[in-house]
Amino acid sequence: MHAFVGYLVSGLANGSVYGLLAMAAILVFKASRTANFAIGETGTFSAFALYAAVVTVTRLPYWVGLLVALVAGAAVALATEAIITRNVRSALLVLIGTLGISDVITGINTVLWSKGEPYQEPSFPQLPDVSLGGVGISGQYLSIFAAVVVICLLLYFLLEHTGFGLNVRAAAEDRDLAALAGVNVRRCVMVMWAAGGALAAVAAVLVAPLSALNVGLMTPLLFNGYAAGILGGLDRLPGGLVGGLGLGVASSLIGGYISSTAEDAILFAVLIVLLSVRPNGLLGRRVVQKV
Amino acid sequence: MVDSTRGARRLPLASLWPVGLSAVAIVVALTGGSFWEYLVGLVLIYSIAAIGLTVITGLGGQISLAHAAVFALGAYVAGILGTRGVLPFPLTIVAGALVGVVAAAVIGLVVGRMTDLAFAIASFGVTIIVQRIATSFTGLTGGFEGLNVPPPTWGGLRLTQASLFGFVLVVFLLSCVVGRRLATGTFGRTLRALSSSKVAAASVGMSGQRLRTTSFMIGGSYAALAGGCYGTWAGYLSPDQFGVSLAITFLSAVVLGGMRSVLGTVLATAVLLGVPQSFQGAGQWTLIGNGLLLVVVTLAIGSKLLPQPVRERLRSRFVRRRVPTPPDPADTVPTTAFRPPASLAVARQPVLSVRDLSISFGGVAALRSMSLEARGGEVLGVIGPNGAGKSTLLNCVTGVYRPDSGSVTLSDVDITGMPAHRVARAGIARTFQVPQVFSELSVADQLVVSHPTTQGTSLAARVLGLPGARRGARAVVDETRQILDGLGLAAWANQAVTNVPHGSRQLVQLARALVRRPQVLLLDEITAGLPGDEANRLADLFGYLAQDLGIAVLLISHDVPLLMRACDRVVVMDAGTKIADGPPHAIRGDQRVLAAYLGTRQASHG
Repeated sequence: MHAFVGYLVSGLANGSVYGLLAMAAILVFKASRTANFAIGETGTFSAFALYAAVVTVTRLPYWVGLLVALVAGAAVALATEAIITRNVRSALLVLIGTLGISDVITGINTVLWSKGEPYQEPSFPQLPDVSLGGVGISGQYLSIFAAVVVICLLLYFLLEHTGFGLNVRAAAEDRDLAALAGVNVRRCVMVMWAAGGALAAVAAVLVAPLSALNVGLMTPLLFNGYAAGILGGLDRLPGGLVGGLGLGVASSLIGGYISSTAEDAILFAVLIVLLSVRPNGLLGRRVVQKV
Repeated sequence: MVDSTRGARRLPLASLWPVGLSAVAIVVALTGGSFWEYLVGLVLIYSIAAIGLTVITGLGGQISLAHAAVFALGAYVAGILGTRGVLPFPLTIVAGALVGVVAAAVIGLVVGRMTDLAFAIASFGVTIIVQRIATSFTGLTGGFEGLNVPPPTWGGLRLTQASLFGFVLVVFLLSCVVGRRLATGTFGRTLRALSSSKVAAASVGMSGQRLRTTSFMIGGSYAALAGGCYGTWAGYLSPDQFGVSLAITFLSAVVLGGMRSVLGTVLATAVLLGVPQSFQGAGQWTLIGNGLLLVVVTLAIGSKLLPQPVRERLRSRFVRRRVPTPPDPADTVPTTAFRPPASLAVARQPVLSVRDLSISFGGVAALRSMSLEARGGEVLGVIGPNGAGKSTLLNCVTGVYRPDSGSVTLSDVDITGMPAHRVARAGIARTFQVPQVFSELSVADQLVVSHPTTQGTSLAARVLGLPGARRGARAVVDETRQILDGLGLAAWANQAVTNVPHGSRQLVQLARALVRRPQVLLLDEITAGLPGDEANRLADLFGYLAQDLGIAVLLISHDVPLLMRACDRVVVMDAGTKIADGPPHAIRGDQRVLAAYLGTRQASHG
């Protein structure tokens, strides 16, 4: 039982990070019907930005450093959007272009940081450890949960309860119709890409203190984030969180109880089976094509 | 001069480039010392894999990042079999290729059901997972330590690096020749058709799932074959060689090479591998350089400044094309070129029966118990106000939508809910209100890829150029020419369909439908965008198709004079159901019809 709760909590913590990345992917998908494969590296870049702001270049307080990271993530995502999607129409070519951007960012991270890695990323303000039925839960995990809850509430409020959120949702549903109704679609798209970059930054900043901060920090997580997005359904924001948490818990339980060697293989098989039953994801809607 | 014969008529010199490239490779390898020999071998091997991806991504339009995974699979299977001495040398690579093909088939069948974007992401996952598996199953793969692949032996003798180079060169040459045939032949054009319009592809009987899976299997066999060669050539395998960056390298080669040129892909691979090797001091900067290259090429291909692939622009600079004047409407005469469909329907027998068809979208009933019969040898008009459900009816009959209830039968065969490509194969051809053409192909090729003979010829026969396949191709070309002549489209035959004006695209769709030799022909607003006199000529054509060929022609139109002239019978629809059915003159005065169009309440009161 103790082991189970342990697996569950660490799975939920990892899953939260996947969920953040998945929501970043979904925002971009809703904005431009394409994928930004550079979000992983964008996150890594932001985690380094925080490190630079708080530890090496200047010694700003953590919260200011966090802001720097968020701005860095949003700025890189906006640059990606401006360079690629503004000039390229085809969604698939955009995807290839973002792979190129991803290489460029990895290259920049390597040039700037590969000398002294790994670094110890300053930790997100930690909540106290808690004991739940005799099982200790690390405060680090708790602060991850808290951060994710705050972000989800914030996104929910912005999208569902503000005029701007209404515009964004309209633009995501039907660009042309929204533009006809006077929505500044261009700005909505930019905001969604920027928000995606900021979410990736949060994911990286949360996960970096748990492992070592290095150039390859987010590369493996990018896939988990996208897998979570597909699992939940790329057209719905809550789907990303559900998919992320599900993926995190499943991989933690499989790794703990079945085999840590075959964890990825089993997980992938489960994913494929789930997706062949529900190609649009767990919460996804069927799209009727118009002819 | 229609496309299929182009390959045969072209100067043979143009197709000799693989030999020329091989000669260059040999010279560089011989004169450059062991470093260059190794590098050239590597370029050849990566090129083989990249040609495979040209089939999947360049022609099929599916972005696959799983190519590195299949490459790794071929490498590990061949490497493990070779290390343990299970199989002798070339057979290890063959076994690796077979496993790769099977894996690619599974990827195609399972993951290929997703949308293009979801597939790209899932394929990314396939590469990550295979890499992780290679890392964790240390017993088989050696994990991070890597796997040393011993130099192969042949009849007890160790093969020298030079003879291995020869082996790789032969595989490369074969890959180029086959790849070129695939890319320029009807298979490549079929894949391009599928990637430009899935709906139109299904309407001419192409099974998207099957074509995609076939393209994965072909591409996968290339990747796995290359992987097997790689292990033998490099002598060492470790998981970090097969990551996402390898997948991106393959993809970059395809994009940089102009998406669908085999030669371009090979040259791009040489650039991508050779340039960083030549600037070894650059180290960390190579990744930035590669990334920038990919971004620039993507922008060049995809931006509005350079709307067409670089290769095509270059070609158009050298080859001056004659842009034809639009066809003279007088050319549009009924043609005697069409042969009757195989089973000529007995005149005026019901061929297509629609019974009580209903479908609703999110609570809105688009069709409510709609029934009608289309008879062989008859032109049936369908008319109704906007939103009456005419196009929905067509989409339900042709398998684009699956009706909630009711049935559709074609010559006593129940085709309700069949996928669109099977409905097309059963003998129903259609056009779309908003023309759905294969935007990447010429006008003539729209017909070539849609022809049942093209689709019925096996891929192997086409690639090998067997006599039967050649005869079939010639017949297809002849028939294509006759149909285009008959519809006054001959001048457009070798033009990109995107140059054809909107109204004439309707005729292109009609030509494409006719090449299927349908029993039932469904036409959705075919005269939209055509000048009036041309529309009248079409009315005569419909009469010919019905009376002389026994086709059941179903014509949806808002053009009342056309319907009066062309149709033997008219069905009127309103609010998703049939409100009148009869000869044109009777329909004209029908009170319910007037009510539907003019909105009076007379009908319900009377």
